[in-house]
Amino acid sequence: MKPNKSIDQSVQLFKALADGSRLRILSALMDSPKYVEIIAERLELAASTVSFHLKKLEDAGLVEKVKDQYYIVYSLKKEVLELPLKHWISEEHGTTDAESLREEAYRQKVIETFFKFNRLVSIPVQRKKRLIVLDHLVGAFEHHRTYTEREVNIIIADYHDDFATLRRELINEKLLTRENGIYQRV
Amino acid sequence: MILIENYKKYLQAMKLDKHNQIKSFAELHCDDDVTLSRIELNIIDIFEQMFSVSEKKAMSGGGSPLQTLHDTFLGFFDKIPSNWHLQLEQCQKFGDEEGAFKENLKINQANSLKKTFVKMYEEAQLETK
Repeated sequence: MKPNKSIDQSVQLFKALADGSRLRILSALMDSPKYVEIIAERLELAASTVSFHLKKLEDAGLVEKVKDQYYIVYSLKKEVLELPLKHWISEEHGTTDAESLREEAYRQKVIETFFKFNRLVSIPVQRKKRLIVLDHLVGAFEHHRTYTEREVNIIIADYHDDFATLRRELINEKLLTRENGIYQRV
Repeated sequence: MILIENYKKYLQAMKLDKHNQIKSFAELHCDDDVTLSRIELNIIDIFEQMFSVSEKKAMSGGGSPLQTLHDTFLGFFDKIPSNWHLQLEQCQKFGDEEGAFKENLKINQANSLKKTFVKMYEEAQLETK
């Protein structure tokens, strides 16, 4: 029998979950993201042992880490934890789902990096990241509604001062249409 | 020799502690922690055996038994973990974080046993002066 990538991922996930310490770590992360040291203190385990478990949880796609100055903060990947059990035991969940999960995680990371307190910190230079930012931005526009240029500017200005560049980018990337000075979300 | 008695007691206490840890982890279904504690217990077992070898050598040969015990036993701390250091390097080189963690665990356990022995030896030396 050939190895099945989706089954491999499921086995890795269940192995990661089949350990009391790792379940306690996930439970500790339920309320908020935490530093390794905080988890270690709460669980009365060595920080190095907690890191060992977190690596397994990270490999299984259950947690993710973000560097915060000198420390690494771990948080749950809720989108994975909220998947129904049948998703993991179905042989058909395959790589597409795994890829889309990775894509979604990447998208979330870009949004968290570029948006602070719902303001766009800077316009990404890299097109892939810029598209994610623009896609997030276009969410401020309603479908099936038309906007004047002034309205578009006001909406974008809530996120970033350079509304002219962003408005042009939204048009170029075909996220908004413009006809006779009237804009509409695609 | 008081050093031998004390160090044997220390090793026994360490082993008991690890056995208790293994039991507690097993009750909590912390299987990986059980494995990690077993690794540490194995290291204590290895150096307990090496201590017996060193003790025999110290008691059978000429010269200062305390010095012979010290030199022989510490020699094992250079020899035995050298392979773990090599394994650690390999694990780090190939990104095997789990393997690296286990090799580090072995090295740290050995270092802890060595540190305690050196401390007890220094105390024993002071008492003989």
